[in-house]
Parts: sequence; C-alpha cells; structure tokens
Amino acid sequence: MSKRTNRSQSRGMLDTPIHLGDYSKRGLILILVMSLMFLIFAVRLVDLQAIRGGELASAALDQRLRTQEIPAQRGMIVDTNGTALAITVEARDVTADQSMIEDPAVVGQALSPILGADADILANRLTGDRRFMYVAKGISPDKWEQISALRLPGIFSETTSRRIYPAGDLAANVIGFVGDEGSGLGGYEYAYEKELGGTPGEVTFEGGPGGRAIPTAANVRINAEQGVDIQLTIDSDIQFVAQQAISDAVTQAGASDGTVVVMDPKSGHILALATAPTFDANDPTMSDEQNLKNRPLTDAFEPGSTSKVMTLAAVINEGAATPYTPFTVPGVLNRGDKDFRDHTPHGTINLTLSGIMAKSSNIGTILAAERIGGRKLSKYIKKFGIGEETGLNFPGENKGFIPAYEDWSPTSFPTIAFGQGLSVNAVQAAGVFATIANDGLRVQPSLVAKLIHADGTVQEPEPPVTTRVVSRESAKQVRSMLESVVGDGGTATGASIPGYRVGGKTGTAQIVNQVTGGYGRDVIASFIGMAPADNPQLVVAVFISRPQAGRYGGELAAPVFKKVTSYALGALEIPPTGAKAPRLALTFGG
Amino acid sequence: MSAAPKLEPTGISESVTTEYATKGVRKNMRANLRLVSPMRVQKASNGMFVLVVLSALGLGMLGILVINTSLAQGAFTLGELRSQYGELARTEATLTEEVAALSAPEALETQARALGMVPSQTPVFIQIPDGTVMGKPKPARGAVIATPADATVGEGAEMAVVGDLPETPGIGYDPATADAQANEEAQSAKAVEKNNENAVGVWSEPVVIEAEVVSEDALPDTVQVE
Repeated sequence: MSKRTNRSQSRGMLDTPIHLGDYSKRGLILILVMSLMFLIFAVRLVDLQAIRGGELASAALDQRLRTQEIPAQRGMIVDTNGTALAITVEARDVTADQSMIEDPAVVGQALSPILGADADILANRLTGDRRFMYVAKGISPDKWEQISALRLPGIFSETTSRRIYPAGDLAANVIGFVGDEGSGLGGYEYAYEKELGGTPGEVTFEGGPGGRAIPTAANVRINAEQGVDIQLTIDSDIQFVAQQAISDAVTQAGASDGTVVVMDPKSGHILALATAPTFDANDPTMSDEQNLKNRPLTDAFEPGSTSKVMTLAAVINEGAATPYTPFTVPGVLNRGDKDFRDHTPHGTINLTLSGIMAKSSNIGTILAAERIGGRKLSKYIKKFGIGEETGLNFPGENKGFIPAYEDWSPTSFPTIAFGQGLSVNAVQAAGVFATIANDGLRVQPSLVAKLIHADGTVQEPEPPVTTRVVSRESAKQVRSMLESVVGDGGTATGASIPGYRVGGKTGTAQIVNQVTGGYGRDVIASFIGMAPADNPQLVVAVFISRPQAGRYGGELAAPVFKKVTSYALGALEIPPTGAKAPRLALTFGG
Repeated sequence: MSAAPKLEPTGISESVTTEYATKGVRKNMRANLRLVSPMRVQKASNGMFVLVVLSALGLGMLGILVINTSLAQGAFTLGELRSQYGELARTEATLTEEVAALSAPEALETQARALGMVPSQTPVFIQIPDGTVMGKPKPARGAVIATPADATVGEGAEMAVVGDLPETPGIGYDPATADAQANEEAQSAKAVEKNNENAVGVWSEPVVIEAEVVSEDALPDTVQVE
C-alpha cells in the first residue's frame, strides 16, 4: 500500500519530502509490546519449569501413576511324603450392586442352587441401595462360571484365593486354620504366618484416563515373594490311622478326649500327632473351641505310672539297682505323714526291679528311688526334658512343670517318684520313652522337616539338640524291663504285636480336680511303648482322658497302641528283628 | 522488494539466471540494474518442501497407524492370553483340589474298602529270594463294603475275606487258584511248624501280588532271621 502511495507522490510532487510515517515510534511500541509478552511468557516459563517445575511434574505423574498389588500365593503345607495337607487355590468373591438389581427375588432364586444358600435369604441380602456388597466369599471358579453364564445384572466377582484342607480334619490340630482374610489363626498356619504368607509385590505404571497402561511409559514391577512351602514330619497315613483309632477309643470309652503321639526316636521326627475330638480345618468355626487345641502340646497333665520309667532309669543309671535287684514290697508304705498303696491291694511281696515295673508298683518305685534320693531324681527328670519347651515352636505350648528340688515337701519325693506332683505334655511323655528307645540319648522332637522356598531352595531346620540322659547300657536294661510289661504277667499284654518284640508302660493317672484341688475319680489312661523293643524304630504314646467305660491304661490305651503301631510298622516297612524276648524274673523267692 | 522502488521492471527474461545477473552487476557497477526474479528457484524449493513435509506427514501417519495397529494387536493378544491363562488357572485350581481330595487318606481308605480290601492285623514281610516269612501272619478280618459279582469266594472260613477280592486287571491273577495255593502252602508250613500262610501287608491283598509289592521295597531293610 505504502509503496503505491510513495510512487504516485514521487511522480506528482517531487519537491515535497516524502512522509514515510513514524516507523521508529511504531516499531518501538511493537518491540515493547512484544518484549512485554515474551517477558510474561518467560516469567511464566521460569515459574512453571524452574520454580514449580518439580512439584508440577510430580503432580502430573501422580495423576498418571497407578499402583496395583500383586498378591503373594500362600505356601503349601505338605506331609513327609509330599501329600498336600493345606493348599491355596484360586477362588471368587461374588459381589453385588443392589441398585442395579430390579428383582432381587428372581436373582436370589437363580443364585440359590449354585451357592447352596436359601433363596429368600439371598433375595433379602440383594434388596437395598448399596452399590457394593459381598454375596458369597471364596466360591470355586467353576461355580462363578455358572453364575457368570446367567448374566445376572448387578452381580460381579472379584478374584481371590481360598485355603483348602483336602483331608479335612487330618492333622488339623497341627496345621491349624486360617481366618476370613486368609491369614493363619491357629497351629502352624499361625506360627509360620510370615513364611507361609510371603510378601506381596506391586506394579506401578502410568495409566491413561481410562485406567489402561500407557505402553511406552516406564513401569516398575516388584515381584511378589511367594510363600514358603512347609513340609511336616507327619506321615498322613499313620496320622490317619492314629486319628481314627483314638477317635474310636474315645467314643467307646465315653472319654472326654484322647491323644496319640508317634515318634521316630532316632531322628526325633513326630510321625503322627493325633487328638480326638478334633475339627475340620475347612470350617473351624463349626467346632467347639476346646477341639481347636493341639492337646498333645497345649495340655499338661500328671504322667502317673509312665513316669516310673524315668525314676527306674535313673536308679539303674546311678548303679543303685539292676533289673534283677530284689525288693521286699510291703502292702502299705508311710512316707511324710501319708500312707502309699499300690492300685491292687497286696500283702508284703517280693519283686525284682523288673517286677516293680511290670506290676507298676508305687511302693516298689518309692523304695527304688530312695536309693538315689530326691536331688538326683529331680536332676534326671529335668534331663528327660520335663518342664522345658519341646522346641517344636508350637503356639500355646504348655511346657509342663516340676517343682524345684528346694521346694519339695516331705510327700513330694515319693509322689514325684511314681508320677504325681509334676506335669508333662504328651510329646514330653513320649520323649521320655524315645530317649530310652534311642539308647539314652534324647533327641529334640521336630514337626517341621523343611521349608521349601518358591525358587526351589530347601531350608533344613537346625540339627536337633541332643542330650545324653542315661547310658546306652542302662537304656538297654530299661527296655528289657519294659518288655516284661507287655509280656505275660505284665499290665499291658493287650499291646503285644504278634511276631514283634514290644516294650512299654501303662499309666492310670488321677486328674487333679480344678475346683477342689484334690484327686477326683477322673483318670488319664495311658500306654507308651516302642517297637521293635530290641532295636526301637517307633515310639507310640496313647492317652485317653476321663474314660467312663473302663479305667486302666492296659485295657483302654494298649489296644490303640497295638492298632497304630501295627499299621506304622507295616507302612514304614520295619520288619521284626526275629530275636526272642528275654524273660526277666518278676518275683523272687516264690 | 520495496528497497528498489525507482526501478522500472525491464522485460524479465525467463532465461536470465541469478548467476548471470550477479556477473553483470559486478562488471558495470551501477549501470544496467535489472530486477532479477528468483521465481524458478523458489518454485522448485517450494515443491521440494511441500513434498518433504507431506511425505513426513504421510510417514508419520503411517507410523502412527502401524504402531496403533500393533498396539491393538498386542492388546488383543494380551486379552486372549489373559483369558486363556484365567481359564487354565481355573482348570488347574479345580484339578489340584480334586487330586488333593482324592489322595487324602480317608478317600483312599474308602476306595480300598470298595475294592474289597481290609486293614491287616499284623505287619508281615517276605524276604526275597529265600522266601522267609518275617512276622506272624494272621488272616485279616473286617467288613468288605462292596464285592463285585464275578469275584470268586475263597475256600476256608479264615480266608473268606481275603478271597473275596476282585481280580486285579493286567496281572492275570486268579483269586481261586491263588487262595488254593496259599492254603496248600499254609498246610505244608504247619507240618514243619512254620507259619507260612500268606503274606499280609498294610492292606491285605492277595498273596501273590502282595509278595511282589512288599518284598521289593522291603528288601534293603530286611533283617536276617536267625
């Protein structure tokens, strides 16, 4: 435009100075305006990038970043042969959006057969305005497939996991159980929660508005550390037979409860730890709280006559007597203002030390124990592991009790000698016999064979602590005495297994009445034995509490011992040694 | 362009090149100034530029298309694999549960009893190769839950339960013959004051089968009989 004007002016009026307009002023304004704008931009830029840069960038990242937890799968619990005792499988929680359900009755009717719940109750639960609620928890994926196929409006699912115990109540007292959240609440599920549970991982990624990951953006993934598998020393077949046998015996005797411990005396491995009544680990809430306990470890009781083994082993080990040493046993013995009697009344009789064991004479045991005295007896009982934790790390273990020797009353010595005034748990009682079976060397018992990590590495537990309690020779002599208990004239002929040499001891211990503090009519009938007696591979302890029909260990507990031991000998392929049992003289003088 | 307002545009020849013009300017400094047109050069570079931009655009769009397609394809594969994984995981869960339930001792006992087996009373071993019987065999007693119709009942009251066992497929075992043999053996054994009735393992299976099964495993642990 200005070009044309200039040209015409220059043609028309050549003398007139050409007015070009105020370029410098306009330019200046333009530059100023532009500079101001750029300045504003610059200030804003510095503000956004430099001053608030970090903060804004992280805020933006926060908007995009999403974190999802990767759940860790809970470890399995398996028996010594790898049979699954507790496993975790995928499951579904069924959820509902009540506001989307138009006709709860119809939906309830449809869900009822699949969930196995009452249609009316379901319909009730589905009525309302809640946007989220659980309809059923932990159903199998199969069942969800069926529900999903119905295409019910407002019914959704969440993927979760479910702990199942395929064998139900098998070793439930040892394994324990899990709660609704899937964490252990009892037994080894609780004690090994940290190992079994693992550590959940997480994945952090940048997501678009729809929540989907932006493919090119970096994501950080911390893998979940899967739970550790625990292999127990329990043999589920022996456990099963033991559980069945004790359950039958408890029912038949009208007893309150019963316990069986099966141990390998050489390794200290507990092959079965059964108690009855017990509970279904899949549904622990259905059982009485008393039955959720692991009685062999959580209950302590006075051992009674089975404790005589400790006393007589101590007497032999101190060289104070041999199995053949004669004792003149009176019908009544007065010690510390108290008259002691044997369970079958008798006049003065002549018994050898073997006879005292075989006939389970209280008076004879007191007389034998007097040869070593209380201080030594107390030392031996402690060495046998009484009053000390078993080392099984079981939650709620009762470690038993023996009063310190300094606190013994005048009647303490005679009563402790034959098994009253001290308490033990069933595993400790079995441990005493395992020590005798293992040539006098006590091996700390164990229930956990190994931990198997997700990457396949196997973590063996610390080697068991061993304690020399009595000499090999003393243990051998005690074993031959224990054989006479099962042999003719003993108190537990019902425990003998044809073809095998078996040794053991009966017990009928009175239970202290919690109210009166004295002994009531209630007893614990027990039998603890080993086979083969000349090379013991198995120790089996049986306890039956408060029997109504029957009373003595020989009649109630010995048959259970026979059933369990017979099976275990076969299952573990332990052949008879073929040697003949020695016949020890039980009496003398005729 | 406005820098040379006084110049009349002389006939612009299309053939005049920039190079020529420059030479001219150098030779006759102020004379013969001519407006040169860079039209041709401009035209050529414009076309090139448009071409470059367009092809870049095209390539870019093609790239986006390819990436999007591959992403969609990836997402599709991912979805497919996820659902496949889910299905397989469900199957695995179901099967694991089933296997675990079936291998529980209680289930095994039920099945063993359904096959006509009963628990043995006492463990007995046969030592291979000399056939020494270790332990005192006793016939197993117990209720048989299910007895297949074609099973042959063994002879002798003591052997009744053991003889009720069905034929085990694949081994070609005839219970009747085996029982007769076992009985014969028992008779002859009694004569020499040896109790060689039949082998009884954990489960009282027929004599022949059990002897094979038990002895194989028991051999290394076998203790010499005096």
